[in-house]
Amino acid sequence: MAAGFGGTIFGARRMLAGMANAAATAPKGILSGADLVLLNEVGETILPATTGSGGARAANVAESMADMVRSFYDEREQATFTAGLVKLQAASRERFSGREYLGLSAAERYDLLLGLDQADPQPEYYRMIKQLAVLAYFTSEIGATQAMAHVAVPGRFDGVVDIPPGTKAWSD
Amino acid sequence: MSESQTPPGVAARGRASHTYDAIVIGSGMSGGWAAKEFCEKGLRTLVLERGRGVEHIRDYPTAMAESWELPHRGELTAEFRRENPILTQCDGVNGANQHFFAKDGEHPFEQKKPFAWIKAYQVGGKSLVWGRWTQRWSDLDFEANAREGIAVDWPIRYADLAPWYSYVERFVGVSGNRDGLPQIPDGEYLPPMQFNVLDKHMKQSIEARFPGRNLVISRTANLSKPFEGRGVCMYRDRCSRGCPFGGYFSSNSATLPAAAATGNLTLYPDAVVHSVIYDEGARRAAGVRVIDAHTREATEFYARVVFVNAGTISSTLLLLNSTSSRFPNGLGNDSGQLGHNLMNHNYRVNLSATHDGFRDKYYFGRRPTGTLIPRFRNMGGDRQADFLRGYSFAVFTSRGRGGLGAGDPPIGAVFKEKGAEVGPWHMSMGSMAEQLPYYDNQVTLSRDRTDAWGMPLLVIDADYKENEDRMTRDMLATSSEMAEAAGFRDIRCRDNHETIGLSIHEMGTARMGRDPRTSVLNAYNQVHAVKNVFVSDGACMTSSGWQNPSITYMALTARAADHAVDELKKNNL
Repeated sequence: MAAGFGGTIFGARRMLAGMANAAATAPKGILSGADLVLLNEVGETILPATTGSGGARAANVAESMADMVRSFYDEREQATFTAGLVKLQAASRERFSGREYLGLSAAERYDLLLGLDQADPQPEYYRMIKQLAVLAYFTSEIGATQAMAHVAVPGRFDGVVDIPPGTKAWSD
Repeated sequence: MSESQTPPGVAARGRASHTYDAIVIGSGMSGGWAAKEFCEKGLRTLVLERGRGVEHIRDYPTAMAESWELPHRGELTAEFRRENPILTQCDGVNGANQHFFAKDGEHPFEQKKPFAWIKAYQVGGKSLVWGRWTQRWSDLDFEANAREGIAVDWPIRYADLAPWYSYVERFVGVSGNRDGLPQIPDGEYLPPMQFNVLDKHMKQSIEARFPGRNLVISRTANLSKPFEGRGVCMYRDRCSRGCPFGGYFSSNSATLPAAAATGNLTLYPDAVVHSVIYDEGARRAAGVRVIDAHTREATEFYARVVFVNAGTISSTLLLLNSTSSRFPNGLGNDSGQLGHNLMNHNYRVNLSATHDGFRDKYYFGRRPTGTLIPRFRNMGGDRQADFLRGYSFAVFTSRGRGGLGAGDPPIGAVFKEKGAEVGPWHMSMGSMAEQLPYYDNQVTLSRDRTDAWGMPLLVIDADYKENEDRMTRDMLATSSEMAEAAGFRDIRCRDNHETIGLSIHEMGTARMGRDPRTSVLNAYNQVHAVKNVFVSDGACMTSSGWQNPSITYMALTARAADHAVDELKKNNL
């Protein structure tokens, strides 16, 4: 697979199994500009800028996530995802006395998302956001070339190379 | 190449301008070889390709695109999957290469039972997207039908084809090791690609624990050193997008340019061959009838010899559609075998597993091939009571992103950094199993439905049978025991029950044989009763072996073309 995630996306797996519903083509513009801002900021908390590599915001994961929601999800999944952004804001207001996600400090954002991540059961919308953010990030130029190691044209194959612990994986 | 021309009508230019020495139907793996051989032997050759023109390098739009530059990051959309329920069953199709596959709507067909017919209609055909695995057949394969009384005997043996394997390998450029194994005879190889550390470990474990089983680097048509002026493999592993470095063999990169360089090649894309024209008086083929893919205009071309290389099922379709009073049931179909004995390799067993060792070893570059466990069943000292023939496994080992441990945070800086680190070794094993030829696995023509070019719709009726199912059960057991012996954990092994067809190794339907009463083609791929028509793509296969078949089609084609030219010189055609 070109981007290395064939069949790993919600929905895509079912489509592979031939169970795709006959839903009409997903409408364009499922997510608003404000949604994209929110997704980049949620993404940045999950995959922040670090010393060696830009984070999800710099990689603009929101644009790719929106494309995946539009292009890969079926209608039910799209509805779960968009409703999930509303639920995320509600969770933020509930936990931080009425403040929405963008009004939170970095530490508060981390606490909110960590709570969702560790909730049992983990909310489906959160699982979707996290999965798409990770996919979008590691297939972005920043994720693939800064966070991971990338050589577009290796020019040779060395079968056995010694590496120290902590070596970055090659991106495709 | 003159591929941008539109074929003029016969009336407009006269019959002479529509006459060539040789016509080759199809520009893929075998058609490219027929074109090269004829052109180099001085024949004015017309290649007819039903798909669009694809020029080497110029028409590889995604070849240099990185993941972030591809639409949808290189993944297929839900809409594409809905529109192509057959094509998208094929794992090899993705957003970066889908432009080289025919969409389901482009060439509809009927399925009596589910059959995934995966097609690639363009100049170069499937040679642009092939797997590039090129193991030779041996007499274990050529003698099998006769030994077991299955179907009919092959009219040739390994000794007949061995020099032609060498001949094509010396032009194709095959990287590989000379392993000295009887079931995959050694050929003319460029240096082999290296093993990684897990490959070495698996080879050692499997060969020590299971005498008679081996693990080798797959012989692969990627250039491990500069070759024939075509370039060299850059180890990008993006072959199926077309290679701008000329790093692997395709018609587009190799045979068609060689044919064009002679000045003898005329190549018409968008030319759907409707039928072969049979001259009742001369008792030979006069030429072919062609439909323009876009305007639907019909025209005819004439030649002394016609090579049918449209791709197994498409070749048989146009032969079945070539009816005359002499051949009311399809050209050369005196035996009634045309359309029957369709075979495909059984790729149903998939195993995946993880290995905890070798964490301090990695690799550099993306090797565009894997390792091979060649056939070990029903050969040497091995005898299986409940199935005939055998199978191999394709093995792929790699390490991806995955450095996170159980105690690491699920979000944040550590999650990102460790998540980008190299994880444990993963291995996948896939079966490549022989299917026996069965008369009732067949393609026929629809009586009442036609396609956009006025051709009857194909009806495909084929499935796996008892021998394949029994072999599948054995493959589940042997793949698992080899993974266990090599120390893997989390071994997941299953019969994926995938639709027949997905190996994209359609074979048979116009088989070679010794007897015109029971076969369509003779030992030189020549139609028994129409000596100036040859079929040398997968349709000619009398049995299927387990090997990826392209290199065998290439060798058969070069051999058949050589014979055809000899016969032309002797005025026998």
